[in-house]
Amino acid sequence: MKKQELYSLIADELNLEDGSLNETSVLFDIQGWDSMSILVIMTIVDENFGITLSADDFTTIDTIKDLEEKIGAENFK
Amino acid sequence: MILEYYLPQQSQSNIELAKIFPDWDHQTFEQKVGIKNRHIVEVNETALDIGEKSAIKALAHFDKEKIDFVLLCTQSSDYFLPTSACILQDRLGLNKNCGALDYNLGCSGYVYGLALAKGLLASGIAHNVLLVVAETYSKHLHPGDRVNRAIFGDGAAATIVNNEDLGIGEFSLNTDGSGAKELIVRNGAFRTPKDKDVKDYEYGTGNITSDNHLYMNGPSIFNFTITKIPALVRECAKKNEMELREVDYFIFHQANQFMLEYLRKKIKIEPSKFCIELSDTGNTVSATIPIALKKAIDKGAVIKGNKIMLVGFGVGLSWGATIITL
Repeated sequence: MKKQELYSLIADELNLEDGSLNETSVLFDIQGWDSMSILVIMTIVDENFGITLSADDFTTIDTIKDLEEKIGAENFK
Repeated sequence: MILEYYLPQQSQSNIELAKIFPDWDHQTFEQKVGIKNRHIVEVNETALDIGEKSAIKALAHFDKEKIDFVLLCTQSSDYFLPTSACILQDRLGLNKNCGALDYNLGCSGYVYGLALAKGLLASGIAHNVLLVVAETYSKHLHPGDRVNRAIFGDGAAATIVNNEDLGIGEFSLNTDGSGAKELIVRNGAFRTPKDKDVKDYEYGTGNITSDNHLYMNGPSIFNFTITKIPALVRECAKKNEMELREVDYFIFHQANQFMLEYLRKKIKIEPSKFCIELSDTGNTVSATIPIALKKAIDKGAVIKGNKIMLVGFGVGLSWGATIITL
């Protein structure tokens, strides 16, 4: 998966406009962010990368870039 | 199968909850989580009361003289002692030569209750078990806990379990107590008594709770669920010597539509065989599975002879599954 595809997937699942997210986007500042949004991100990462994020992971993930690093550069094209 | 449920008369819609929490986007919640309404007990109404009402409905179809064991699942007991099941025996006018006990489990409670009942029947200790699951998490919630007030509802269900009316297959039962802190009411028992000066704290996005109230680490419970439940379902099918495609219907603990849909896709279960039934009730903890099962029977979604996998998971952490034959 390309990074841009990940941004589009997250935007789609969180009902945001395509193109509204980039590496610097802060998760907790995303419009409408709530407890469910974390679960949405967890499912996207689990389904597309086979990685099950823990609740603790989200204490160190602030931005989309942090999320990419947690997924690992080797998992992106 | 003799199964009945009871929901408290008082209910609370998302629109009513949104008046209490004006910043809450109830439409997105409804779309994602699938809950529109939940039933809440009155201040002076308890799990025992609603459990009794569900049992009275079930016993309208069965000779109560024949009940020789009562199992009552609740985490909202009337008293530390005696056990609520003893009071229920008296209230229902059951025989005195009837065993009765409570057991304390949450969302896995119905599956565990069927396992206990099966053991009692197989050993000849009992012949007709009244299995009651009754829960009132509303009593554990902080008034400012928006997300959990939206998710949880109160409810009860009663099942007559015997060798004639219901086939109960093999079980897969699991426990991981290292996750106890992820869903917990810390204060109020003997480890840490209720603290009258307890401090409220905020968690998640704008939810308030305290150590005197229920705390749920939603992401952690979700992680547990998507990690453990697919394997549980496969193991349960294997123990029952069935392929997943041979199972007629799946009823998982009705926690959250978003989570259930994700699990369904991950396990590759057809939508037509998979129950989503929480819109009017919310997550009623140990009562979700029998309430959903009764609704599925009433709608004709399942019929006599069907093989139904029941999957419970949650607080403990505790998870289990079995296959019943209607």
